[in-house]
Amino acid sequence: MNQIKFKIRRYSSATDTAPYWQTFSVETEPGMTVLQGLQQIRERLDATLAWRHSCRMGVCGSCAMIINSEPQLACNTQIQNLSAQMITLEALWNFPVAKDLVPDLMPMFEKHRDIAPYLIRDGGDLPKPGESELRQSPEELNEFLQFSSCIKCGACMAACPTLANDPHFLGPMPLTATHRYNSDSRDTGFSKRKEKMDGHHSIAHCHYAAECTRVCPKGVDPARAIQLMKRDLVLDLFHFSRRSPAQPCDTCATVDHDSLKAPVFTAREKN
Amino acid sequence: MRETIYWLLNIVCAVVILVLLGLHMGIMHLDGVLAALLNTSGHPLAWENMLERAGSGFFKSTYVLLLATALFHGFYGLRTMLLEYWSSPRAEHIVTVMCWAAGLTLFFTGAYVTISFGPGAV
Repeated sequence: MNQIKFKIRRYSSATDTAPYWQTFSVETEPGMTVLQGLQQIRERLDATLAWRHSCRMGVCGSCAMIINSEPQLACNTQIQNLSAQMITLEALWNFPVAKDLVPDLMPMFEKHRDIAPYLIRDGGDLPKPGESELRQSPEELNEFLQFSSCIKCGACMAACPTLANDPHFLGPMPLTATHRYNSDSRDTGFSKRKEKMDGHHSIAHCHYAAECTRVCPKGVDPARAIQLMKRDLVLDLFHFSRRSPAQPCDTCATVDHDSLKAPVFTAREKN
Repeated sequence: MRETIYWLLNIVCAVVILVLLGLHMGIMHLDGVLAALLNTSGHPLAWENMLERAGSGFFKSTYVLLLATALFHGFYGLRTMLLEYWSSPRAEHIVTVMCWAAGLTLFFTGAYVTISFGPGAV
C-alpha cells in the first residue's frame, strides 16, 4: 500500500468566514478512485468532510469536483492515473460552495429551466402513446444524440472562462440542452427559445475556448452545440428553416404499450 | 435578434478587414514585389504617391470601408469585454450606446479627413 496526500479546500457557508486547506494521508491501492479516497478520509480521519456522490460509476454526475485543477468525476478518476504524490481537491469553480466539496448547483439548474428543456409542439401536446407516432430517421436521431448524453454534472460550467467572468452567462450545459431540443425533429420550440439564445449573456458571447468540450466526462461537445446554434440563428435571421418538424403519423403501426409491461406473476406461477 | 446581427456583422467585418489589410500590406509593405510584378516605380510613402492615392476614388472608398469595419470589429470586442464585468441591463444599455457614439464619432471624423484630403486640398 502507498500513501498519498489529499489536499482539500474546505469551507462551510454556515460556520466559516473563509475557505482553508486541509491535508490528509490516504492509503492507496491499484484501481482505487478519488471517491474511494474521500470515503476513507471520512471513515478513518474526519467524519465532517462533505462531498456529493451517488452512483459511483460515472452515470449520475453528482461527484464532479476540481481534481488537480481539472473538473472531473471523483468516481471516474483513478488515483494512480493522476501520477501525483499530492491530490488537490476543490468544489467546482464558478458555483457558490455549500460545504467543502459540495457546490450549490442551483444557478445552473435555474438557467437550464429557463431554456425550456423539453419537447415543445406548436398547437398542442405530443401524440399520446398508442394513438400516433412522431417518426424519426437514424439521421434525425444523430442530430441530437450526442448532446443528450449530458449528465448535468457541471464540469463544463466549472471550466468555462466566460462564465468565470460573467455569472449571468447561460453556460455550456444549458446551451447544449437548448441545442439538443432545437435539433430534435419532434420539437418546434426554436422560436420560444430564441429569445434566450439571442440574449446578451448567451451564445454570441461564448469565447470558444472549448474547455467545456475537453473536460466533459461523457464526451459531449458543448462548444460544437454553441457553434451550430450560431448557424441556426443566422439562418433564422434570413428566414431559412433548416428542417421541417416531424408530423404525427396516424397510419404508422404503433406499439402496443400494454404488451411492453412486465408480466405480473402470482406466487403460485413463480413457483 | 440584435446579438445575432451584431455577431454576424462582426464576422463579416473580420473577412473584409482580412481582404483590405492584405491590400494594404501588398501596397505599403510589399512594394518591392509589386514593383517587379506591375512595373511600378517610387516608394509608397513618397509624397507624390500618397497624394495620388488620396485623390483616387478606389483608395478613398477602401480607406473608408476599412475604417468602418475596423471600428465596428474593435468596438464590438470592447463592448463584449466590458459587459463581462458590468452585466446589468442598465450597464448593457449604457455601454452599447457609448460604443456606438464613440465609434460613429471616430468614423465620421476619419471619413471626413479621408474624403476631404487630396491633391487639391494641399
